[in-house]
Amino acid sequence: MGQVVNFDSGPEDAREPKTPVARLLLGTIESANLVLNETTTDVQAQAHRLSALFTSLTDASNEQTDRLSELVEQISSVEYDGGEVDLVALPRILEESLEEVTERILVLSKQGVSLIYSLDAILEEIDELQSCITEIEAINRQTRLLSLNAQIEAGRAGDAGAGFQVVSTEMHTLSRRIDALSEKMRGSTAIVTRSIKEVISSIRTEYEELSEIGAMDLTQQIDAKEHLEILLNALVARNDEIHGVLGHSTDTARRISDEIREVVMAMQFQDRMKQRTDAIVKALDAVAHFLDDHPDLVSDESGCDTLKKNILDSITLSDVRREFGQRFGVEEARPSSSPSGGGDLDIELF
Amino acid sequence: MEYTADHSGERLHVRISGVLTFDDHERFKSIVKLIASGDETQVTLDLGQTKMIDSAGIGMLLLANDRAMKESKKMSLTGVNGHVAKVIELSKVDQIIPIT
Repeated sequence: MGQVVNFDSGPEDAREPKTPVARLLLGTIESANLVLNETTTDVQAQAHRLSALFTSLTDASNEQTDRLSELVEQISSVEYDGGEVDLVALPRILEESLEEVTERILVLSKQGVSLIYSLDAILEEIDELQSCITEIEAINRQTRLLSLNAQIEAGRAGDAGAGFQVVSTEMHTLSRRIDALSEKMRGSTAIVTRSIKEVISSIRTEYEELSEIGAMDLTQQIDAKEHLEILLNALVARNDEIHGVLGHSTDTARRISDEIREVVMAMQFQDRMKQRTDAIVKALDAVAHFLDDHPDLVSDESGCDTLKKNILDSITLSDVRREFGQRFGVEEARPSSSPSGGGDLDIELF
Repeated sequence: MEYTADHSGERLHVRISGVLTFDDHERFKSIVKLIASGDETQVTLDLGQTKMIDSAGIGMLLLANDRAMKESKKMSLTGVNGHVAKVIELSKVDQIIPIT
């Protein structure tokens, strides 16, 4: 930063201006110097402020990018039973559950029909059994009639038929016992038949109840499966869309971050402007000091050579010094051999 | 449910029409008996004219298949369409009984 020579105030006021031209030149240079200094300070302050704001913006954008990336990952899956379930796999899981329910209904249906077929077979056997009982009862009636006839014939035979009378009586007794037994069998078969018919009726009721809730004709399962497939496919499609949008947003946020970073980098080159301005300020300082210290040498050739040297010595930025040197007719060395040793590359970054 | 049966060499072809539900289990039993008692080694149940089938109907088809296998016969389904095709697809019956 160049040294500002105060024209209006301070101990310098006590000195008498040397010539009107010198006073004018001195005032102009010092005013220009002051304005340049204020400008460069202002630009530097604003550049720092903008840089800080952009840096903060970059941080916020990076955070946003990270959140979006996290969201993209989270939206693709859900937590279930301590694990992560991919949304794409969800339709398959639900479909498998539905298939499992349907499979159980079919197993039960098959077993139900099979049970009814078995019970029907038993009923047929019972019918056969009842026919046999009926046959036995018919034979028994015939036997009873025979024993009755035998008793009549035995009575007619008198004492000679006494033995036969005993046999026919026993036959009659046996016939009554057979009657009682067949009656008991008929009763038992009736109970078994009634029980089996109740079981069949119960199974039929179960089937009717299943039909009422739509489990039997499987219409609801078919509808549910179709709706489920449509809904889940839509869900997966929506997930893909959101995934795409978020992915696009993430790319955009990342690009914004990169661009802001580039802006910050670009703004760092305001320092180059500051260094060039400082070089001008220093050159003007040198002129001001010369006018102030040697006003009588302004019109002198040797004084001009001294002023040229003072000006060039005060400038450390090589390209600015080279520019002044060319104007002054002084050959300037290449930037690599400049006193500052930096030239265009000598830029202080912040 | 109504059905007709054709015996052709080694093949028994049974055409089932109408609806096949629980109420038809008694009538279907005669089809099972046909499958079990015949000399054919191939059995085809034609469901082309079957309008609707419920889970009991599917259970009966599986029962008929069991009976055919028990008698070392091969059973298959043919002509499945509409509601019947959907139920068969849903119940994965095609993984147990071949569809031709």
